Amino acid sequence: MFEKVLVEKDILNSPHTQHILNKLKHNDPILINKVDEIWGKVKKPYLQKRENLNLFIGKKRGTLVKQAPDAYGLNGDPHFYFIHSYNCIYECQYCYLQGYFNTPDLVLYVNHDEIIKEIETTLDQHPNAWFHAGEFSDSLALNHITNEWSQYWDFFKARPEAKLELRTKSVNIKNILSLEPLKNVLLTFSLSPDEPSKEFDLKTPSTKARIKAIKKLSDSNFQLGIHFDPIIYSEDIEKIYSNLVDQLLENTNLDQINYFSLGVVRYTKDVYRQVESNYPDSKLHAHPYIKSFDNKIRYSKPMRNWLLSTVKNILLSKGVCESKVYLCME
Amino acid sequence: MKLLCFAHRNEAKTFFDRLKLSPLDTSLNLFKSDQSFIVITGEGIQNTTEALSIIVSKYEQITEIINYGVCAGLENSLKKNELFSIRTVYQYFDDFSFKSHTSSDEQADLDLISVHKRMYSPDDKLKLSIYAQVLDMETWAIASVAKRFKIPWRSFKTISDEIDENTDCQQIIKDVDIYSDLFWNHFNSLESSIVKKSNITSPLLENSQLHFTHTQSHLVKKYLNSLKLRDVDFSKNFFHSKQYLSILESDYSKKEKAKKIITLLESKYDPITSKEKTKTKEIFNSLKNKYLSFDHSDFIERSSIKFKGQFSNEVDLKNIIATLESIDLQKLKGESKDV
Repeated sequence: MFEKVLVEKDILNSPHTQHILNKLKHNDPILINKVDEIWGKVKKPYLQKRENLNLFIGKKRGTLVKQAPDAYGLNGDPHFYFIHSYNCIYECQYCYLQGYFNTPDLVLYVNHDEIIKEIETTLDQHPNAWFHAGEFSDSLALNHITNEWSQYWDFFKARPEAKLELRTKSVNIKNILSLEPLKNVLLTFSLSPDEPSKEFDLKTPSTKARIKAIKKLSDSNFQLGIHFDPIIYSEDIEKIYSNLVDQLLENTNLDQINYFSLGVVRYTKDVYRQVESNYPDSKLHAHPYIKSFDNKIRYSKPMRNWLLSTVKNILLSKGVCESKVYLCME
Repeated sequence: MKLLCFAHRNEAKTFFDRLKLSPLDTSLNLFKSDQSFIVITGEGIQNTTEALSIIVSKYEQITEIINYGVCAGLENSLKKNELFSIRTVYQYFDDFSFKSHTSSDEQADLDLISVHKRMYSPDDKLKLSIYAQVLDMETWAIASVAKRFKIPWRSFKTISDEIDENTDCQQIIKDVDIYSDLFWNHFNSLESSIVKKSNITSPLLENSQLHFTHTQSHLVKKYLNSLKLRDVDFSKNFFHSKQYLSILESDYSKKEKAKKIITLLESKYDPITSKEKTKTKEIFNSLKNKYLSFDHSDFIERSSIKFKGQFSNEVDLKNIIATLESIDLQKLKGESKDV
């Protein structure tokens, strides 16, 4: 899976590091001082992740819990995200990670005790806060190797006023199913209809497989959330999203879906440049973009509004309560 | 024309034996055959940068740089006497340089790091091997110059030794004939992997009944490329469509016809925004008068309108106020209204 594994000397013997190395059957990692001294110091082309992906294991330093941007999550409550990992094994053509870091190499941070401690401090200052994982990585894609969430579970069980969101496109839920479903811990899935998912979400589990995973979690009483994000224009948008919502609701108890977030495809200027260079023939370029109000590259406002209202109306027509639908980053 | 680039004359020995080379510039060690230039740069990043910069800026007919040379292995698993195509090149000069350069060979799969001085220690090997599998002292310079002059480059390397304090330089010198044959055989079998970008322009832009400005031509190309990504037959269908043919057959001037075709393409390219733009334009055109003009270019995205008023008496001012008060903002927003 990984070409090279590089581990910070100080955390080589931590149980988390050893667990990961055992799972990877990797006994001979390269020892380094600090991840930041090497990772991202050199511009490594993004698509080299296909043949030559390295893994760094280290300790996250600096601010461990950060305030989420505006228009993030349901209104009213404070939102924060924490960083337990950088980069992703999947290859979504629109992904902002391709222009965000200078390397596709993965980092796994193992100082979960410290991250949890900082979550606790933040929670003391902001009761009812949400904490999101998966801002810079997929929360579950490597969970069979990392298995870090049980530690977070213990904390969030003891602090029911706080909410944890684990966001994913993976179906890697075996370890999660062994945990107790908690009211304040949400497993959230990014979903797209079959056709765009096959076209743009490279190396990810199919939509069908994701819905199957959602069903298993729903059957086991886990709390869920759905992200229809990014919505990418296609002429049959109404039909394909209607089918997707039908498939989802046939397999899930709607009461367990806490929210649906809707977002239209968008990029920063740097990310868009990378998308153009990495995927020059992608159908992502088939539709017009403009530089938008926040300098992000997006569809024009009428197009965004049309897409968002179309998908929102599909949800409402199928019995989803309006208060559960929110627009992300709009 | 290709520029073949070697660090040492011995590496190019077979090329000198087989090609009819004539010296072109002895101070640069530059030679020329019917098909290509050959340069012997000397060892190191500085020498290579200097020689290539001069040559590439002087000889505009150079369309590609191809480098052959020996390098040192940073991984024990790599075989000697095989030729590898270099994918990405990094540089180490006291520390790692942030920049990297990627070759135009899409089949390339080995990464190389160029260093400024010979490095032997196991610590060096470990450090450098994080980024690359092989090491040399020139390729980074070749790639940098190629990038600066927007010329594609490829680099083919064979491993002569592994980084080791006991490297036997004499043995490498002895084996250089073998390496040179290897490079020559490869060069002969080399097919250009550079796919030239299609220079075919759209029949639309070559149609003598239409006149597009430079900016309009770019717009037409953008629209057609996007529409073709959605539907491969778009162009074929479009050129046979009634709308297109009726514009061509109309009595409008060449410039007016071109403008109408752009509007037509825009309505296909982004139908929702195009409809909104037309609606907004109509509304503001109807409000425009001798006292007041509008700039509504930012209206759709930011709901912002700029206007310019001019009055010289109270009646003019009242007219301006009345016109502004007549604007129904909610109605105007239409599709631009937030969901």
